[in-house]
Amino acid sequence: MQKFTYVITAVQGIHARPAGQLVNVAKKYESQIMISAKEKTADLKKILALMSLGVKQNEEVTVSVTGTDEAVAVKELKQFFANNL
Amino acid sequence: MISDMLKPENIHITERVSNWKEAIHLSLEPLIKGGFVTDNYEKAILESTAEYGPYYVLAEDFALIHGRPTDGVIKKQLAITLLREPIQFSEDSFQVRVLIALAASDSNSHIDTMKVLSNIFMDESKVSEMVHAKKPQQIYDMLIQMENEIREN
Repeated sequence: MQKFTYVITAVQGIHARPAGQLVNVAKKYESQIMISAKEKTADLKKILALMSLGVKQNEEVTVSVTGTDEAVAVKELKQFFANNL
Repeated sequence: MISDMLKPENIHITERVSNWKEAIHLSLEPLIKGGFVTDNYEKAILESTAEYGPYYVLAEDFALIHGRPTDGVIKKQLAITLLREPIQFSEDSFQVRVLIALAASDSNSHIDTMKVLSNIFMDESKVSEMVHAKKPQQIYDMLIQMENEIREN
């Protein structure tokens, strides 16, 4: 299992558009990918679950990836957060 | 929170629309007529759709039509349109019958409202309940109750 944390910088937080794109990145991978924020956890491959966390600017998320492609998944996910959120 | 942003008169049931742009227009109409958003809001949503695809189609039968607060929101409000005949916003997105139009006046209330609505509609049976509603008042009562259930848990 690999995990990383990230503090959201985007003014609009994780709103629908980046949420959809983030879910599409996660869905490329076989690994189980979970995202946690404010003591709640969601499956990052499910857009409504992700949006139900209501992540805002300056809040921290933790992403945990478990599976055979976890290394490459973590790399791409980190890049996505850095470029979009 | 939902009850502060939703009036029963802004809930409509329509038989069908010809295309997805008409669906967007119809869903935003109560917000435009009510002075909650400017005409630019619809324009901005169509432009974003052209650029990113229909980012607001979140599940089978369910779309949350919205733009940025800075795209022309005057006052926060929700409106709901239920289509009897489903519409598709793009070739590879879900068919939609429940359209919830959201105008949020700032980023935080935007995220908070989407959080509540996502929590409710994550449950497919809730979407299904709403799809089978017979009258606008029923939809209103359902949503208020669904929000209360979320808050209790």
